[in-house]
Formats: sequence, C-alpha cells, structure tokens
Amino acid sequence: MKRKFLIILGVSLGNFWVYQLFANNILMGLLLTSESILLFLTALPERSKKIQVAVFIILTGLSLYLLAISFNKEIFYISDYEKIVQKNRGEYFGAELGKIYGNKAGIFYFDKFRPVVSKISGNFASNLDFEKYFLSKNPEEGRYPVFLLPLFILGLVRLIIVYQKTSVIYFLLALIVSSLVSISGKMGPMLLFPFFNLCIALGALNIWRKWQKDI
Amino acid sequence: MEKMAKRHLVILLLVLFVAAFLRFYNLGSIPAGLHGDAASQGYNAFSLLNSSKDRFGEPFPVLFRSLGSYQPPIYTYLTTIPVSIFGNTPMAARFISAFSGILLSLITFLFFRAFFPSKPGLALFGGALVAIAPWSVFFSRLAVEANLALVIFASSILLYWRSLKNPSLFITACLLLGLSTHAYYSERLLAVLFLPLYLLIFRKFWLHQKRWAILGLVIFILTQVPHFSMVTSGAYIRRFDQVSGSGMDNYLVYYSLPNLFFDSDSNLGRTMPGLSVFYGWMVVPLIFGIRELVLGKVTKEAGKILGLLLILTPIPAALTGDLFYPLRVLDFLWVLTLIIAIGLYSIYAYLKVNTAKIGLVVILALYSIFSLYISYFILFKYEKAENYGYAYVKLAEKLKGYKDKEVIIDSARDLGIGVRMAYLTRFDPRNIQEQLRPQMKTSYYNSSVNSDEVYILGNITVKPIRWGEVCRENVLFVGDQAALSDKEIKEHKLKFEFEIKDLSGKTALLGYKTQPEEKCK
Repeated sequence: MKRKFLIILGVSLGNFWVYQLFANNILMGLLLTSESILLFLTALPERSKKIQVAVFIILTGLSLYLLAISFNKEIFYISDYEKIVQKNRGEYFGAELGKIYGNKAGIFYFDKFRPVVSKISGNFASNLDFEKYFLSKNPEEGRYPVFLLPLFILGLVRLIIVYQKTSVIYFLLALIVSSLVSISGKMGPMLLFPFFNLCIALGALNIWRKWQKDI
Repeated sequence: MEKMAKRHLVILLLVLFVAAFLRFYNLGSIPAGLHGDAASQGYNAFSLLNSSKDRFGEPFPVLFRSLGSYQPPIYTYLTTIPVSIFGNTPMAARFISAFSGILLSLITFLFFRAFFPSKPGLALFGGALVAIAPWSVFFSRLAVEANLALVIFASSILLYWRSLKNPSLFITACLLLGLSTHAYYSERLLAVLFLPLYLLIFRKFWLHQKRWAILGLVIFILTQVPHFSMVTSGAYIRRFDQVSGSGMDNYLVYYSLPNLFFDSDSNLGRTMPGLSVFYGWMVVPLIFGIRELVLGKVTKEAGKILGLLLILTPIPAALTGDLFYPLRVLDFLWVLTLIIAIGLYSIYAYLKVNTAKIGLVVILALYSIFSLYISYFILFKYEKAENYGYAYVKLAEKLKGYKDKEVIIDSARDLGIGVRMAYLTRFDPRNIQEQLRPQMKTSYYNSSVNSDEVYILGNITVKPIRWGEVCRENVLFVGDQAALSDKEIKEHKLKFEFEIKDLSGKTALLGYKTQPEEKCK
C-alpha cells in the first residue's frame, strides 16, 4: 500500500500542471492533489465507501467553484460574425427545409439550440484533446512530460478493461462540468487533473507489477 | 459460409439501399460544381474513349500527368464506363467513387461475416455504419481515388483472412493488394508494410503452405512492375516530393478524439460544416469496441489483423507534411468504423429488452442521417460551392451565348479551369492533345511537371489575363474579383457584361468586355 501511495503522490506532484494550479490558487492545488490520491484509492481493490463519498464531495465543491469563476459565457453569446453566419444559414435552411425550418420549433432548434450545443461540444472535444496534455509545444501550456503518455494509455486501457465505476463516473462528471467552463483559462480542465493522474499511476503500477514478476 | 437468414438479407438490402441513396442522391449537383482533379479524371477518361490517349496524347498511361502532379490510373480507366454512359457530367466523374462507397458497405458486411460467423447481427451493424459514416458519404461523393483504393484494399484484407482457411485465396488477395497500389498513393506504402507483417504474424500457417505463399508473392511483385518502370523517371515519387514532411506528431493526430469525432473543417481533405469524420456519439462505441478487442472477446486472429491495421494505416499520411488529412487515411477510418461496430454491437447485445434494442438503433440511425442531411446536403452544398468551382459549371452554360466573342478566362489562381471547361464543353480530345503535348516542358513521366498549360477551346481561351489584350476588339474577359478588380476595370475601361454568383450569393465570376475605342484611341 505504501508503494502504491508513493506512486500516486509521485505522479500527482511530478508534472508541470500541478505547479500551474498551485501558482493560480494554492487551495485548489491542494484539493486537486488530495482528490488525485482519493480517486486512486477508489480504484484499488481495498477501496472503502467513505473514500468514494469524499471523492464526489470534493468534486462537487470544485465544480461549483469552477463554474462560479470560469463559466463560459460565450456559450450563450453570439458574436457579429456568428450572427452573419446564422443569418446566411437561416436562408439556406429556409430554402431547403421549407416549413420544417419556418416554424417556431424549427427556428428555435436551428438558430438557438444548435449553436449552443455546437459550442458546448467544442469545449467537450477540447478537453479530450490528449495532445494538449502531453504534446504541447508551448512549455507554458505543457501539463505532463511526453514520456508519461505510454503510462497514461496503459492505465486508461486498464480502466476500460476492469470498468472501475467510480473512476468512470468521475471522468464523465468532470468532463461535463469542464465543457461548460472557459477552456482557455488556466483553471480550464482542472477537474480532469485527478483522472489523468489516476491513469498514469495505474499504468506505472501495472509496469511495476510486471517488472516485479519478471525478477 | 453459412446460409443467410431471410430477415438478415432484407436488412442487408435496406442497408445497401441507404448507402446507395446517401451516395447517389443529387450526386451531380452536390458538391455544387466540379473540382479540377475530378475534371481531369473525367476528361482523361473521355479522351481515352475517343482516342486511346490521355489529354497530353500519351497512349494508355501508367500514371496520369495532371495539374503539376500525377494521378494513379485505375480510377481514370474505370471512369471511362460512366463517362460513356452518362456523358461529360459531374455525376459521371464521381460515379466510381460513389459506387465504391456502396461496395465498401457490402464488403464490410462480408468481412464481419467471415470474421465472426456466429454474429450475423454484427455484420449488419458494420455494413450500416459504413453506409452512414460521415467520412464514407463525404468521400464517396467526391471523385477521389482513395475511396476506390479503400474498397480494393478492404477486399484484399477479407481474402487474406479467408485464405487462412482456403490458402488458394492468397493469390487473389495479393492481386487485389497489388492493384490497390495503382489506385491511390497511401496503398503503395501500406501494401508493402502490411503483406510482410501479415506473413510474419501467421508464419506458422504459411510455412506449411509455402507453394501458395510463394505464388501469391510472385503475383504481388508482378503487379508492382509498372511502378518499377516508373522509379527512374521521377514520376513515381513526384507526389511524395510535393507533400512529404513527417513527425511523430503527424502520426498521433490521427488518434486524436477531437479530430475524429468533434472538429469539423472546411478543407477538401477534411469534412463538412458542423460534422467531423465520425458522429460525436460514436466515441462511446469506440471505447466499448477497444474493450472488446483488449479483452479478447473477438477471436485472437481477428484481433491481430485489426490491431495490425490500426497501427499501420495512418503511417502513409503521417509521412506527409499535413496535420490530420482524412483523405489520406480512409483505410484507418474504415478500421475505426469496424471497431465502432464491434463496440455498438456489444452495447446492443448487452441490452436485454427488445424495445430498448430497437429504440437504440432507430434513434441513432435517425439522428445520424438528420445530422448528415443538415451538414452535408444543406450547409456543405451552399457554403463550399466556391471550393468546387460551381461558378465555372454555370459559366460553361452561359458562354453558349457568346459564340461570336473571343473569351479569355483567367486561370491565374485555379489550375483546373482549363480541363474543367474542356470536360464540360466536351471539347475534342485530339485537338486538346495537339495543344497540350507541345506545352509539356519535360518528358511525360518526370519529377518536374509544369501546370501552366493554356487551353484554347474554340472561341474560349483559358490562361492568365494579360492586359495588353484590352486593345483588341470583341474580347470578353472572365475572372474572379481579384483578376477583374475595380482598379483594373476602371483603368482598362472595361464594360460590364455579366456576373455569376455562388450558391452562397457571393460574386464568384465577372464578365467584362473590352472597349478599344475608349481605352486605346
């Protein structure tokens, strides 16, 4: 257990991202590091219910904080350029769809609902861009050194195989909240930090076990 | 192979009908226009039909010299069939690609039936996913050789699998794999990577079937003879010279989830407005599909072939300088579609209630086709018309009323205008051959290929505008707003004749006639 704890602690503190988070807000840095450790503990066979509850309490607190300070107002804001695009598209839809577009429900769907969904899915996609986490060419944006990528993939595959419910639910909730916040801000996808640490640590643990078996 | 149940046959026919509908519905008018590369293939096919030579007067080329590069030959040779049936239309130029898209759906079905004979439902899922996948519909409706190459490549993979039970099929598999290298550039590299690795993986089997293995390899090498004859000319690597430039980043971008499922882009090599290469929802079955593969729920051999393809297929595109260029990785996108199908089928099988199963299939199918209709058949049609030369199709019609004038169409910013106009006006290929052959600055097969040919199509000349010609009587200049700017119009005292707008309403082409009596008095 001690060895496992050291692995997750090493992963949580051995990256560039955690120092960016600490620099931005010490309390957030501490909470996210603790969350990483707790989430890792829930993925171990000797997990307890209390730890699982603690993970989701911290996640709720972090989510509320993040939404309060970094909610992406652009989701509902339509820029001048977007207005022009929307106007043109309205004409195309009108010409091709006729009454399907030219009624209240159609106009609401195409002019209001679709653009909002498109922006949220854009944010959602951006959070899934692993290149941003491991292969960033800008050192200030770099989050993890590239050599951790194979460990991350290994850990992710492990999670997919064993289907660890708490980790999957954590990932989905963190992803949903992150889709609603400004991705360009430094706090951006911070809720995913514990999940990334978890995958890397699981990958490292896997390799450690294999290595121990071999010797 | 087991006899198919009647119910499955009906569903398969429905899947193929959907595939055909999504590929052939308004194929002549969406994409609106005709891309230069498509026109080149169409006109070369027209030229072959009429003279057994391409537009440069080369008899039965091994590679088709075109617009500063070379086009692989099979697509053009096959296009002689639709051009002879439907004439010189945009639809005829795209026909082979669209037909390939339907065939791919069928081959995917057969592929799964061969891989997983106990799961006929999975085969239907595979065929259906290819039928509606945005990447497949998008590229099937463009005259791209890559789509034809994919069908040939996929057929060869199916036969490589079947050859593990019936080794004589190895010969046909090698023949098809060899042919695929004449259909598109990616397959040239992919084939030589795949074949030795396949033999290595299944070496135990093939060491006992040496006779068939050697025969197959000989057949494959024979199919490469035309390439060998090109190697010293420089034509073989001309395209690679144009696009080369690689890095690990270029390889990894093909595994990026945003690139595959969420980002949409406007370039020809990518996708349609508002939709990515795959539908966003497909990310979930992909994860389940990977899980099935990793857990070994698909057979070990099938897993090995899929895994090998998953690693190999992005390599040719990764060696080019472009970041994420779906056109060059259609084989990879097909492999991902197979994994998505496996994942979706596992979710489907997990559901216990029939209503939930049917509901899942119906909702996903309707949502996908609706998204595709909005993104492709409406937004792409209007917003990307300028990328496909819609205005030149209109111009070809308009110029029928200007037979008494000398028309000069500016070609400074679009290399494909000359061949596009020649194709659309069915201009005599022998006449074009006499014009173009002397304009080649190097031999037909060469590492250096000029693309500045002037086309004279009766009263129409396609070349960059030279303002020295404004003092000639009865000349009509046609060009975009950059060629015929307000400044040039004023300075050369040109008189407005017509304007051609894109589908989006933007001015695409302008026609102005000379007034030598005003300008040159």
